[in-house]
Amino acid sequence: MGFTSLDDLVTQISANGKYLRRDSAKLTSPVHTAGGWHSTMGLAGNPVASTFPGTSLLWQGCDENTGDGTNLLGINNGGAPGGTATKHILNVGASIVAAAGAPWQLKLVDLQGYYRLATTDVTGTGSRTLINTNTFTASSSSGLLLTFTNDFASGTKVRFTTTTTLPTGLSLATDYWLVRVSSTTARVATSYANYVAGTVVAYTDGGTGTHTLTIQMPRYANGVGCQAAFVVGTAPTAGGPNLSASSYTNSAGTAGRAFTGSPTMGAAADAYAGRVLHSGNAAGRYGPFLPLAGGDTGIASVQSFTWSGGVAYTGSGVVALCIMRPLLDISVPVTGMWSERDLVNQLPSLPKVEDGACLVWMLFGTGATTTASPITSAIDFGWGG
Amino acid sequence: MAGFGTVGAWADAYAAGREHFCSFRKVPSQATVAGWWVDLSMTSGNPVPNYYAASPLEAAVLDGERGIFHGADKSPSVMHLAKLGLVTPTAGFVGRYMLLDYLLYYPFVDGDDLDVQTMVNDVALPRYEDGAGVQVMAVCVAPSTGGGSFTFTYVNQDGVTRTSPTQVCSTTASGITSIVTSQQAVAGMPGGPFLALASGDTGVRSIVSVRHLVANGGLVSLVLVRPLADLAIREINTMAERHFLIQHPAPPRIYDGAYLGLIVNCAATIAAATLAGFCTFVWSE
Repeated sequence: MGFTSLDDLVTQISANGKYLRRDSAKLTSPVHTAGGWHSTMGLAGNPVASTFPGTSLLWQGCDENTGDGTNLLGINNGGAPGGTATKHILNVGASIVAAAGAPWQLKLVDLQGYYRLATTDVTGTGSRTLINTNTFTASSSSGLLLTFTNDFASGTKVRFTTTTTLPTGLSLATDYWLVRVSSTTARVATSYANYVAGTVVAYTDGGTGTHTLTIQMPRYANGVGCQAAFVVGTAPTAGGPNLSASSYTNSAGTAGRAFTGSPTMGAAADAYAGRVLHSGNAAGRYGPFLPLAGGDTGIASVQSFTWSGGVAYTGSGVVALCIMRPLLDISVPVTGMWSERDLVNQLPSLPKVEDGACLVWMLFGTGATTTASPITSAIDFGWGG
Repeated sequence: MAGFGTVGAWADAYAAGREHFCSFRKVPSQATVAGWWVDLSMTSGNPVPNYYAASPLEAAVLDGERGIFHGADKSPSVMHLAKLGLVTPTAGFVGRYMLLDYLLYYPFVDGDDLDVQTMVNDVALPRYEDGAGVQVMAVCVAPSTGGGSFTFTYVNQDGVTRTSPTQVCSTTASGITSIVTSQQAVAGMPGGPFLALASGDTGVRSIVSVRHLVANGGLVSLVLVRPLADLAIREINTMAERHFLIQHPAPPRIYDGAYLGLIVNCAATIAAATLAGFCTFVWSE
């Protein structure tokens, strides 16, 4: 439950102290080209940068508690409020100080996670099949221990299916959270709070048949409202292919959906670290998100994509296919100008911050933003219930 | 019940006289550079300037009555910043302002000393004791030559000792009052007025030591602050005002003893510039 009235908002902030302010600061790098969208998650500053660690093609869930598994890349929002309380953004402010590039738009997103792409998964022209599922066996080791093939991050939200009977303690069509033990094993928590606390399912038996885990969007059921973008981690040397085919499952559970518009990926000048590859001023560019198939409102998972046509990337780049949920926007009209949004009265929306949200700014520059330009922000959070 | 329970209770505070008004005026003499952050607590005017004068490297606190004055202690009532207004006739003072609660400082960190400089922590944070949300700024108190870098070891909000990433200082000389890590367009800087912390840290409880990797010259004070509110002056001669219940509804809580001061991301030098402003505070029954 959130705020029931303005009086309740005053009570929660003043009498109950349910308020948090968080400042963040990032430094742009390198020079941005005009008309492009960028992720700030790879930029140095506070919070620290992410380099999209993980296994190529494998889903890497992100949250406030473990970040990308290596770095806590999201803006800390104070953890889950507990009980039935829900957390909301009350106000936000941001500024950019740069010799060139204004005006800008900043978009706050909740990064659900990403599929890391490296080496030939960046340079290749065939279909890349992304990893959303693993079969697993169950055993006993300080609780129910799952053993599988890939290295899923701690906090990855999953559901289970089986050909016969799941291990005792696991149910079909129910969300669970992995508590990573090693690169091929994890224990299981029944809630996000239990995952943070390290409270795991006990071992009773290993079930029978072949079991499968399938990743879920961590904070939005079936990925409702979630969008996708290819973001550069390490720039490839050259090239600029087209997204010629793709397959994702939408938030209604329909598989085989395809991104539309045949987006073109940025060539060398538009393929630097942080850049959303398919954004920009040229024809065939879309930003910040890939256009969904008609009628779709979100992405539950992405199964595959093909980059072909155009010019294949060369070199040894790293790209992440990020899945994110947009929360709010703020414009920064000129350099050095502190821009603000009151999300209670001015633009009444009170964006909800889900437990474990990994908050990241996306940046759009109408001009070529100078390198080493500070992006600062302050966010007011409040929670009630 | 401590604190305000309703909008009406807030309004009642005015009727009951539970409001405090404070004006201030700053006329700095120090030259600064466009785009840098500047600590206005050190500048002349009203309230009186603060010089971060105490025994070198020993943690010290500022007297709350020498900052932007919020009156006598109000506990067990809860006091909030209600309004903030700022105006200037000087172009250099156009920009973003941040109101801070100055909690603790470590004076006279030597920018030429490449040895580890160990702090003396006989004094703890007087407010926000766990350090959550407490930030650090490196304020120049004797002009530096620039070009340096340093790291610092600190106790974070969870009581864990961590070492910061490398803090890159300005490439040019820094004058008194300027935050030495806030020059624009310099790679490796923290990107704002505050120093960068280690991954996942949200605040600082105390500083253990500082080590310069490259000498920066001059002296700095490392100041632990808690950001409270922001306001921007967008043009000269026009007052910027905010009501923190109605316009930006997250009225900052002001604790007993708080030393309130401003930092500014200035548009040009603020030498001989003028800043005037006011705050009002209200408190619950």
